[in-house]
Amino acid sequence: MRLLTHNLLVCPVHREALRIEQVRELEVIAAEYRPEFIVRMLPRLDWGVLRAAAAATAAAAEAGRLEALPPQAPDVEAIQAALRDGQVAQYEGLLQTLHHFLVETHVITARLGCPHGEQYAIDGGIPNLLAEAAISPDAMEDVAAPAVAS
Amino acid sequence: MVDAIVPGVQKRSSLSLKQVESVLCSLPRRRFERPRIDLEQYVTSAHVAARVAACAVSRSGEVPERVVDLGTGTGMLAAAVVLHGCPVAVGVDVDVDALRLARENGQHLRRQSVHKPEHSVMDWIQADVVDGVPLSPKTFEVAVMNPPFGTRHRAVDMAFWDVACTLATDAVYTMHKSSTREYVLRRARRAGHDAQVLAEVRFDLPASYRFHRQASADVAVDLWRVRLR
Repeated sequence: MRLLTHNLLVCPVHREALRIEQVRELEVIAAEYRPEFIVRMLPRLDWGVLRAAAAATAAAAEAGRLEALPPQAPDVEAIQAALRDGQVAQYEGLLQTLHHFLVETHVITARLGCPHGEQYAIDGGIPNLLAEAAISPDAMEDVAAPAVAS
Repeated sequence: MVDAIVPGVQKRSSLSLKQVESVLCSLPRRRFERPRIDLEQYVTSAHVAARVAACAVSRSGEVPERVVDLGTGTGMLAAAVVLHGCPVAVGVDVDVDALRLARENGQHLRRQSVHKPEHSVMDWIQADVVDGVPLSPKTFEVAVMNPPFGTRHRAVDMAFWDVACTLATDAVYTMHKSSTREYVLRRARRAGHDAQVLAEVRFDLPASYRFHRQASADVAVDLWRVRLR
């Protein structure tokens, strides 16, 4: 599952956006860079969800990439105008980074966490969002961080 | 028979209708390994999928950016809309075994560089369409589906219809048994939907289930378009 698709998902029980957690396996598959496609997707993105997803999936060596994603959603109209006028170069870093995270980054094995505590498994690149497959917060002892010995 | 719906359809991708059909025929995972009777699983033929998808991507001048395929099964309709030039297709199904096949089909398409599928985003979500679809309302321009016809679970096809209408902004393309046409129309009118039968499709249901005695059975199915704005 790509981060673009993750951005569309909500918890089937609480209808809230899901955090990407416990990432065990990622795949980065190169795809043709199409800035106009990224710009068309921009107005539909939940920027906060995307930034959190990028932070959860970025490799340690990619910390620099994350800096290209500003805290606030970029001004879509300004970027659209720049694209129309052929002045898109100033946004190149941002759009390349968005392309990398939205289109090229595939989450293969991880969990999706609802703010209310439910977790959903992503296995083989396919998230299981059946409400009855939610791993409830009460049943998570097995994945809780080990206690630090004093 | 289905070709009757094709003349007003404009070409949206570099592929012709015949080419889309032929690429769909080449997908490695077109059959369910063990079709589930409770889910009424059967494959949408390449012929039907190519034509339904052509309708779905040909609305007034623009290709939809995002299409959702509800009850996607092995992903035939999702693959077809992508081959017709739609950049984002998300397939939803309750059965993860079917989705694994759909994902293999998607990977196969991506590797066939001649069809430029690297342009497209195809992803798969395991979820119950009727009971808690994990997608926000109005997330997609278009929903396409070949839903279960409701012969095992009464009116499940209309429950799919309702969910599709909440997820899409522009239109829903869906298939229902022709024998239920009057009922579907009444129900659509009651909901205030602008619904129209675009074509009658003959479905050749193979005898994949034990309770089908004949080698295959033709079932008449209507292709509906629901306009949402």
